[in-house]
Amino acid sequence: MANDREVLREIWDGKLPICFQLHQEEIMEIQQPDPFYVMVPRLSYFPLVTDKMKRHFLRYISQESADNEMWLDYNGQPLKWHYPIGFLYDLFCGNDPQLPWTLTVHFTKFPENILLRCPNKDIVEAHYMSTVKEADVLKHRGQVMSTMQKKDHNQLWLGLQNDKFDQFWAINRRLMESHGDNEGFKHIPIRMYSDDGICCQRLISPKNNDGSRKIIQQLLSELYPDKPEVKLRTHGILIPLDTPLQWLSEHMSYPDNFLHICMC
Amino acid sequence: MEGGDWKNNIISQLQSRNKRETIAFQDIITFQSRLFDNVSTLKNENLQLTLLNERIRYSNTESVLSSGGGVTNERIQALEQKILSQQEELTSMHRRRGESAQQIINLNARAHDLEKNLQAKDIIISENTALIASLRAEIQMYETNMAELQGLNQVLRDEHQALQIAFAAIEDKLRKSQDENRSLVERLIKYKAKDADKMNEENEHFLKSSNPTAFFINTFGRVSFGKKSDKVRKELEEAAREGGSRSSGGSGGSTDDKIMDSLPYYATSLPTKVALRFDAHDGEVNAVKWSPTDRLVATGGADRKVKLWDVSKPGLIENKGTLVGSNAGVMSVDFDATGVYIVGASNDFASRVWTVGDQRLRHTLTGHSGKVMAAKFLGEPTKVITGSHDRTLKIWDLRSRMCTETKFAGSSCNDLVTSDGAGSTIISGHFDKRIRFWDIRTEMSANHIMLQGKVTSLDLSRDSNYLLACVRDDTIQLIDLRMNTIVRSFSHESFKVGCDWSRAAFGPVGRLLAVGAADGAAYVWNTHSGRLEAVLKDHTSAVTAVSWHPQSGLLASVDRGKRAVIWGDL
Repeated sequence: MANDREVLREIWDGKLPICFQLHQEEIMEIQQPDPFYVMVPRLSYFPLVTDKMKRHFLRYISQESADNEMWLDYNGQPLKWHYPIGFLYDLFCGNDPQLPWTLTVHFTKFPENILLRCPNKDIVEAHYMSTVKEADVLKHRGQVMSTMQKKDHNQLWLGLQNDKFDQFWAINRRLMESHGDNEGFKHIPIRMYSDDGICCQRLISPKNNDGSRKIIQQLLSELYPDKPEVKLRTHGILIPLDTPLQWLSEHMSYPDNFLHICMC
Repeated sequence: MEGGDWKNNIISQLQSRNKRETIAFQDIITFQSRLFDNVSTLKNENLQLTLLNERIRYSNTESVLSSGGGVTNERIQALEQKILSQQEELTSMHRRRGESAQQIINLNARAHDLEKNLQAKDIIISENTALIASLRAEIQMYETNMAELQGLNQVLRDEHQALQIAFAAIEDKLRKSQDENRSLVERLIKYKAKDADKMNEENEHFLKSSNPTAFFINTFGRVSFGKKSDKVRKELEEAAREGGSRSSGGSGGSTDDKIMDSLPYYATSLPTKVALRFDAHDGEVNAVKWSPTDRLVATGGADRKVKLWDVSKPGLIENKGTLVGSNAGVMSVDFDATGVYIVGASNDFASRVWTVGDQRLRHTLTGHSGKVMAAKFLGEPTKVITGSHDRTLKIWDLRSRMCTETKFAGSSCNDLVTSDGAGSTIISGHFDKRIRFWDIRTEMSANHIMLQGKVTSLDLSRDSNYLLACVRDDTIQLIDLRMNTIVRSFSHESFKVGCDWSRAAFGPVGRLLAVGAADGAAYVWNTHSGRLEAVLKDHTSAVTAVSWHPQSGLLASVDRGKRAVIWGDL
C-alpha cells in the first residue's frame, strides 16, 4: 500500500537544476549562446524536457547538424536517455553533488555504440510502458496491467509527462497493490547499479525465508555477501538499512515501477 | 502504516534533499528563464523595429522632409500619395472631358449633315410629286388627243368609204358613157361610111355620066369637092366647133383634136376688148392659167394663194375658191390634162398639188433648195416636173410623193415645158441664156440652144413643132424644134419684157402668140406672118403672165398690181 502520501509527495516534487551548454565546437554563430538553465523533475526523462533548450540552441549550430539527433553528456560520458533523470544524477554525481548540474549538448558525432536513438517522444512512452509491464509481471504476474484499459495506460503516461501527481497515482496505486492473498508483491522489481554503471537485476522476493519482511540489510547480505560496508542511494538519499523491501518498492519506485538503486 | 526510524530517516532525507536541490534553485531558474524569454522577445521586437525604421528611412529619402520621427514621415507620405492619386484623377477627368467635347462636335456635324440630307430629299420628293402631277396631266391630254384622233380617223375612214362608193359609182358611169361613146362613134363611122359609099356611088354615077378620067383620079385621091362635099365640109366644121366647146376630159376627144390640127386656118377670134377686169390677189399676180375643162382660170400671186375664178356667167367673175398652203409667193400654176389637179410652184422651195373640185391640198413636193419657178404636169397627172433656181429639175411621182429623178441643169431654170403627152422630152429655159432639151431618161441635157438673153418663159405649140421663148433682150424667139433653129424673132420698140418670169403663150391654134410687157400692155403677134396684130392695153403695171383659153380664144392677163383682165367675147 502506498499510503504514505507524504513520502510520495516529497519524492514526486523532487527537481534538479540543470544547466545546458552547447558544445564549444558546434557553435557556428559569432555570438556565444547563453547557457540554458532549467528545473527538471527527477522522475522524468530527458527527451521530455529538452524541447525549449533544443530550440534555443538550434540557432547557434550549423544548418546541416540541425536535423541530427541531440545527445547529452556529462564530463565526456554520454547520458542514456531511458534512465530517469534523477537516477542519472545519482549515478554520476551521487557522491559529490554539483548544483546546478552542468551538461553539454551535442548535435554531431552521435555515439552509436553507446546510446540508443530517440527520434520522438513515442519511443520514450513505449519504453516506459514496457518497463511498467515488466515490473507488473514481476509483481503480479502481469495481471494488473493486463486488466487495465488502454486509457489507464495513457493516463499513467500523461500524468508522468505533465507532472500531475494525482492523475499518475490514481492508476499507479493499483499497480502497488499486493498480489493476491499475499502481503506484497510476488517479486520485487529492482535494479542495482554499481559505480561503473553495470546493472544487476535479480529475482527478489519481499519475504524472507521465514516469511517476514525482508529488509535491505538482508538483501545486501543475500546479494553481496562480500561487501558489508556498501551503501545504497536512490532518489538522492541514502536508504536506512532496516527499511522493509515491500515498503521501499511501494513508495520509492520510480514511475516505471522499478527501484533503481546505486551502490556506493 | 509502519513506523520505524527508517521511515523518518527517509522522510527527513527527502526533505533535506528537496530543500537543497529544488527550492534553492527553483526561483532563480524560473527567474532566469523568464529573463531569457524576455530577452528573446525584445531581440525580436528590436529586429522588427530596425527593419521598419530602415523601410521608413528608405522611403523618406525621396521626399523633401527628412525630419526624424518615423511617424510624421509616414503621415506626410500618406498625404503625398493622396495628392498624387488626386492629381491623376484630375488629369484623367480632364482628358475625359476633352474627349466628350470632341464627341459632341462630331455628333453636331453629323446631325447637321443628316438635316441637309433630309432637306435635299424633301426637295427631291416635292419635285417628284410635281413631276408626277404634270405627267399625269400629260397622260390625260394624250388620252384625250388619242380619243380625238381616233374620232377623226373614224370620220376620215367613213369619208373615204363614202368617196370610194362615189368613185365606184362614177367609174360605172364613166364606163357606161365610154361604152355609149364607143357605140356612138361606131354608129357615126357606119354612117360616114354609108355616106362615103353613097358619095362614091354618086361620083361613079357622076363620072360615068361626065368624065371617065376624072373618075379614075378620084378613085385614087380622096379630093372631096362638089355640092355633097361642101355639105360634108360644113357638117365637119360644125362638128369640130361643137367638139371644141365640149369638155375634152380625155374621153375620145382624139378625133376632134385630129380634125382641129388638120385645119390650120381655123379662125381664132382675136380678143380686142376687155371682157372682165378684177382684182385677183393682194400683191403681185405672178401666174395665170386656164383650166383645160370648163371656164375656170387660176391665178397665183405673191400673197401665197392660188385663186380660182369662174367666167361661165357672162359679165360676172366669180371666185370659185382659194387654194392655200403655200408659205411664199406662187410663181406658176398649171392644170393637168384632166383639169382635176392643179400644181402651184412657190418661192418656198416647194410645189403643191391641189384638187380643183374640193380645193384640198393633196401633195407638197419639197426637196428643192431654191425658189421653184415652174411646175408642170408630165403627161399623166401622177408625174410633175419642177424647175427651180437651185439649178435642178426634179421629177416627182405623186403616188409615192417622192422625187424620182433630179436633173442638174447648171443654171437656174426659169420655165419649162413638156413635149407630147407622154412627156418624154423636156425643154427648159435658163438664166444662162440657154434652152436645154432633156430626155426624161438621161441625166444630161440632150441638146441646147443659145440665145441672146435670159430666157424668161417657154411655151410649146400644140403640134409640138414650135417653141416660143420670151427672152430678156425684149424679143420673142420662135424656134423650130425639128430643125433646132430660130425661125422668127418678134420685137417691137415699145415692147419690153416686164420681169424675169414674164410668160408668153401660144394661141390655141398656134397662129397667135401673146406676151405681157412692162408697160402693162399685152402684145399679140401673128406667128406665121410676124406681124403685130394687137396691143391690148388695160393694165397699169407690168403684165407678168398671159394665158389663152384652149378653146374659146379668151385671153387672160395678170399684172404686178393685183389686177387680172380677161379679154375676148364671153
